[in-house]
Amino acid sequence: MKKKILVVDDDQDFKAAISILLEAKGYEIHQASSGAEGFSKARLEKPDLILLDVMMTHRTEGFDIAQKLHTEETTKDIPVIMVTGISKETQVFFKYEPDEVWLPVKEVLEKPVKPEALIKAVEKHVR
Amino acid sequence: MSDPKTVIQQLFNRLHWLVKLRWLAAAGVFAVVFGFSQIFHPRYSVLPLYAVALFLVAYNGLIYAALLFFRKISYSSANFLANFQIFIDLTCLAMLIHFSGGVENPFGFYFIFHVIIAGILLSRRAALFQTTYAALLFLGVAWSEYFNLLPYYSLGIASLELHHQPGYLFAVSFVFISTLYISAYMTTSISHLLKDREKGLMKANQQLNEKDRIKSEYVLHVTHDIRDDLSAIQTCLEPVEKEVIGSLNKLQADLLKRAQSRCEQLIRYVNALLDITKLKLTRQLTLEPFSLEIMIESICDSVRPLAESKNISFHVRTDLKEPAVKGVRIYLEEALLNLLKNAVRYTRPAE
Repeated sequence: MKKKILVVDDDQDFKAAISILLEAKGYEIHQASSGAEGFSKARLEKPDLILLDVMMTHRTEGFDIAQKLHTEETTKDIPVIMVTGISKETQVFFKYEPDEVWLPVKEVLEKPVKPEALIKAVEKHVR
Repeated sequence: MSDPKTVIQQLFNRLHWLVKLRWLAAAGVFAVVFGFSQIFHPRYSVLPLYAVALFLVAYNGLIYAALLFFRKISYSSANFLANFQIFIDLTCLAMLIHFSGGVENPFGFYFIFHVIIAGILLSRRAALFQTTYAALLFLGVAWSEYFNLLPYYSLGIASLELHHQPGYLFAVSFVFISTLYISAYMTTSISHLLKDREKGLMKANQQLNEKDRIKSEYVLHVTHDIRDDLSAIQTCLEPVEKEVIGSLNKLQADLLKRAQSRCEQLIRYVNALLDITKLKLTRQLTLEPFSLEIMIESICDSVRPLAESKNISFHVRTDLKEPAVKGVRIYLEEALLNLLKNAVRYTRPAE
């Protein structure tokens, strides 16, 4: 059976490019354009991995959704990879260290993300 | 670079200039009195003249020390100091004139440049007041000596007895006083014109700075948007170019590679532009002193309701040795507020 990946990003082109790339790699892709939509699709579809953008309707939406997914019983075991341009945007050049409580994600990738790096991360963390 | 600060600084600099001039004046008095008494051997003692010169030195020393001591001075006290000095200077000059021949003494003309200094330093009203004081001093010396209310100390050069000739006194008084007022009027007019122009320039400069800042912020905003688009373009190009979703023929691969490398180049440019614009914006920030304590209080007041609504206990304890700091208030405020808000937002409510 194909592994399911949920891509949550408000940039349509970015979402399309990533979806095509991962579909070519044999994954089944579901898409969401906002944190709320992403959260409900995560509960509904129970994907094997979620790719999550940070800045959508508000600047820290991705962080909030990651926490919400982590505390929700049905979604807490789904691995999350964060894909973000936030450190360039805010000029905060520190690394986001994934963390059980504050940032419950597997990995944080910087936009624009190289296809090889994305595929590597996805293969590493997918359930 | 606020308006009143520069005005105070200017007045302060001019007070220093006045002190420098007064050292010269005191030295001049010593030299002239000494030379005069050596050549003409006047009938009256020149000791009072030396005394006034010594007083000038002493009081100038005090003003000098005060200026050094009070580096920060309010506008009103600087203004008071300027008025006070000119008042004392005029009084000293009147005494010098009185002890050296009264109306006979051509140094009486020196009242005029005192009035000019007043016109440069002081407000129009204060300059008018000082001019009137100078006129009264001159009239007082001249006519008191005429009516024998004050003793007359002859210079001993000309036995004209000018101080006893009412016609001459009237003529001198009239010419002298009209000269004083005309000089004062001209100086204040010019100096006010200059001050107004300076204010206008300063205001224009401030507006320019503000406009430049707004422009920089706009550039920053637009550049961010451009970079987001470029980033999306690159994400779309790369899987195709890397042949992840199917192989390309040689020509397709070549063209895509070109597009891809131009896109990367553009991202580098845009990043450089972002850095420069941000740097420019930070340079335009002015450091200002503000109270940390007040800032912390106001930040905590805005966070407290959120904390209490989540049943998180929230205490503020400050032990600041130096409650005032110098910096960019809005930035520090934003940083602290974000930290606190996130701390509250991501802390689980108490059971």
